[in-house]
Amino acid sequence: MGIKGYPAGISANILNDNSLCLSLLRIILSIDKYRIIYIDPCQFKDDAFGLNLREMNCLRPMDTPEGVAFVAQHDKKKLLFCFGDQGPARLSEIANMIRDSDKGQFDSIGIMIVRDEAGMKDRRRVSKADEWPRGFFSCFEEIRRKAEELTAKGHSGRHTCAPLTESHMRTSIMSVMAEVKENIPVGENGGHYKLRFQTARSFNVTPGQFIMTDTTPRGQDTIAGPVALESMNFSRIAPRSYLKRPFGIHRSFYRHFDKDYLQKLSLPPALATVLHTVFPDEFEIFYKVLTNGVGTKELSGLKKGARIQIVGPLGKDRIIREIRDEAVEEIHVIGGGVGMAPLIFMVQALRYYSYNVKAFIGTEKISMLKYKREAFDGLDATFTDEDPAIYIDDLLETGLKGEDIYVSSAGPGSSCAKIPENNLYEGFVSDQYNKYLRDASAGRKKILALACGPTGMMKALASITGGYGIPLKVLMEKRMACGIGVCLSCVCETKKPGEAESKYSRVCADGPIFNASEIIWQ
Amino acid sequence: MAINKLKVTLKHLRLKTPLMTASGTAGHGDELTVLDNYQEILGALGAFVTKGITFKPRKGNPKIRVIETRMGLLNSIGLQNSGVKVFLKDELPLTLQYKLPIIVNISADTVEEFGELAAYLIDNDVNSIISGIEINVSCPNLGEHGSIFGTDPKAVERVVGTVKKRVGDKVLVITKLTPNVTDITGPAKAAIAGGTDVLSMINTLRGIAIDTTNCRPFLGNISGGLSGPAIKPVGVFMVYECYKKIPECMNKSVPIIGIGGISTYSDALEYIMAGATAVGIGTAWFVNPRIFEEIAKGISDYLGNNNTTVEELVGKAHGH
Repeated sequence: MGIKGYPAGISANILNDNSLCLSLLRIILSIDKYRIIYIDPCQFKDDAFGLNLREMNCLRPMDTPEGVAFVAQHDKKKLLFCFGDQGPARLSEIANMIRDSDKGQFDSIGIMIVRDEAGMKDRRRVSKADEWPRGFFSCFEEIRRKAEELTAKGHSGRHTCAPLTESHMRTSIMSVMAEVKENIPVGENGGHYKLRFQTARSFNVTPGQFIMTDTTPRGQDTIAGPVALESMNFSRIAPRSYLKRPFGIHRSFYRHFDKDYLQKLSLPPALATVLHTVFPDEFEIFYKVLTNGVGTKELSGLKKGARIQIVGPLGKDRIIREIRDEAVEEIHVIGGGVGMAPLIFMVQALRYYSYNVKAFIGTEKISMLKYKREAFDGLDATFTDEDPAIYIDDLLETGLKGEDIYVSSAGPGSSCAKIPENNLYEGFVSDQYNKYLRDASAGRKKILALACGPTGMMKALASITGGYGIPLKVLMEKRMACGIGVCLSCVCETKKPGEAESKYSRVCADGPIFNASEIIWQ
Repeated sequence: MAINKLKVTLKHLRLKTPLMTASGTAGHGDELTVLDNYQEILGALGAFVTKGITFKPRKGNPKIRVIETRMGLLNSIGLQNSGVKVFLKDELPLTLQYKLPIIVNISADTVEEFGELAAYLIDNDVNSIISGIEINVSCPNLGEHGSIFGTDPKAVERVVGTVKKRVGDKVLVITKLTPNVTDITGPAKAAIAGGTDVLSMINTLRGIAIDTTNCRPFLGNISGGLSGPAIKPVGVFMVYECYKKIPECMNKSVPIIGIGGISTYSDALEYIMAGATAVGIGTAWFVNPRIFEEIAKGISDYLGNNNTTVEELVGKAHGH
C-alpha cells in the first residue's frame, strides 16, 4: 500500500527526495504534536508533495547551525533534522555546532536522515557514535513505511497522542550473555583488574548505572538461547560464590544498532519508531581483588573467551538529565581507588555535553594506575612514563586537559608526565580537593561535585563541599543480592528534607547516586 | 487442546504452574516489571507471593543485611515494609497487572495482631486481589517473637486459628513453617489443627557468618536466615517428613508448598516428589533473572519425556 501520489522509489533528484521525506515525516511528527518551525529552502523543492516554501519559515533561528535541513518544535523542545548526503566531515561539523550551542532547548537530539538502510549502516561505520548528539538516525524507507501505516489508519496528521509517561522513559533490565574480551591486571601488585566483555545484545547503560555479573564462566552450550540448559546450573554449583556481583561501568564501547530500546526513551513516540541509534555492547569494569573477596578472586580468574551472564542496566538513569536541568557550569569528580571507575564513565558523558570537568583521583601510588598492554604476571613490573595509565588516559581521551586532572597518592610515588607536577598531592584526595577549593576562586560558578569511594572519603567530602556551598552527589556501593530492588539488602540510611524520620533506601533501585546531604553517615 | 501438565491445585486455588515466588524475594508491588523478561516470568509463575507485610511500617534492620556464604545467602532484612495501609493503597493494586493469584505474606508480634492484620487485609481488599494469606510464623529476624511462634506448636495453632477465624474461607490460609525445630511435624500438625488450608516450608535456617578481618559477625543483626542451595536437602527432608507422617498432607487435603534452595528444575522436582504440590523460588532468582522460565521449561520437558503430570509426581518418592 502506498500513499497516493507519492512515488515508490528513490529518485536521483535529491531536493525532490528531501521534500518527499519531509512530507512523510510531517505525518509522523504531527502524531507527536511537533510542528515544523524552520526549513532550509536550499534543501527542498518548492511545491513538491504539498510543501509550500512560501508558507514555511525559512529564516534560520540563531541557535540552529547552518546545514540543518529543518527543525520541529513541541513546547520548548526542538528536534533538529539533517540529511546524510552532506559528507561525514560536514556532518561532524554540524553535530559539533549543535552540541556547542545546546543549552537544553533541543530535545538532546540531532536526527540524521539517510537514503536507505544500507546507507545507515555505512554511516555508522564511518563516524564515531558520539559525534552526533544522542546519535539518532533514520532512513527514507522506514519513514515511508511508518507514514503509510499511519495514513492507512486514517491519521491525517491532526491526531494527538497520549502524553509521555514514566514508563516510556524506563529502561528494562536485561539478562544477557557476554564474552570476556580481556581481563588484565593493572598496577604493580596485580591486585586490580580491568575486565572487558562484549554482550550478545547491546543495551543502554547510562552514567551512574551499574551491572551485575557472574564471577565464573558458564557452560559453552548455554551461550545464546534465552532458556539455558541444565548444565548451566551445574556450572554454577562448583564455584564458591553463588550470587552475581555488582560493578559500575568504567567505560563503554559502541558497536551495533539496537532498536528495541528507542520506544522507551523520552522520544516523541511515533517518531521513535523510525529512529535508530547505537548502544554500547562492550563494557569495561575496573575492580580490586579483595583479600577475603570470593567473588573478585573468581572474577580475576576469568579467561578471554569465557561466557558470563550480565544483568543490567541497574539503578536510576537520571543523573545526566538532572545536571542538565540544573544548569550546572562546572563539574568536579572525586574518586577514591576503584571508586573512580564509574566516574570515568560519567565524565565521558559530561564531556559529550561539553561540560567543564575537573577530576580528582585518589590512589595508593601513581604506578598502581599503570598497566602493560600485554598481560603480565604483575609481580615485578616496573612502569615507565609511556605506559598507559588507567583513569588518566581515559580522562585525556575525553578531551580533558592534563591541568584538569589531579592525583593524590598515599606516599611519595612516581611522577606522571601526563599531568602537571602541581596537580600531584601526597595525602588524601579529600584534602587535595579541599586545598583546590581553597586556592581556586571557585565561588562564582555553579559547581556540582560527584564522588565515589570509601565511606570515610565521601563523608569528609560531604563536610568540605558543605562549607563551600557546593552540592555533592555520591555514588554509593553496598553488598547486593538481587540488584533490582526487591531484596532490600543494599540499603543506606537516608533522610530527605521534609521527611520526619530517616529510612533505609535501596542503593540499587533508589540510587546508586544520592545527594550527600540526604545520607546519614555512620 | 493440549492438557496443561504443569497445572496444580492448592485446595480450591488453581495454578497454571507449580512455581511461585518465595516471600521476600520479588517485592510488594510491580517490581518485576522492570525486567525485560517479566512477561516470561509471569507466564512461568502459578502464583505471586508478596514480601512480608506488618500492620505498622517497619524500618528494617541496620546494615549489613546480607552476606553470601558458600552456596547460600544469609540475610537479616528485618521485614522492611511500609505497613498494611500503604500496601493496600499503593502496592497491592499494582500486582493486578500480573494476572496471577496473589498471596500476601503477613507477620506480626502477637496472636491478636496476626488476626487484626489478616482481617484488615481482607476487609480492605476492595478489588478482591488477594487469593491467599501466608502466615509467617517463622521469620528469624524479628527479635524473639518470630521464632517463638514458629517453634511452639501451641502458639502456631493459636495464630493460625485466629487468622482462620477472622478470614474464614474467603481466601486460602497458608502457614509458613520454620525449619529451626527438632521435629517439623509438630508445628505442621498444630497449623492443621488451627485450620490452615496449606502448609509452606521451609523458611530460612538461622545462621551466623563472621568477618575474620575484624573478628565481628558480618550482619548488623548478628544472626540471619540462611537460604540458597545450601539448605535444599533440609527443605526436601521436611516436606518428605510431613507428607509421610501427616495423613492430611498425604491425602492432599492440606497440600504443601516446598521452598528452600531451589535453583534448577530437578531441585523443584525433588520437592514435588517429596510431597510438595507447588514450589517457591527465591534466592536463585537473584542469581539468574530467567530462573522461572528455565525451571518451568525444564519441568515441562521432563513431564513430556516421561509422559506424566506434576500432580501425578506429587509424593512419588514415597513409592506409591
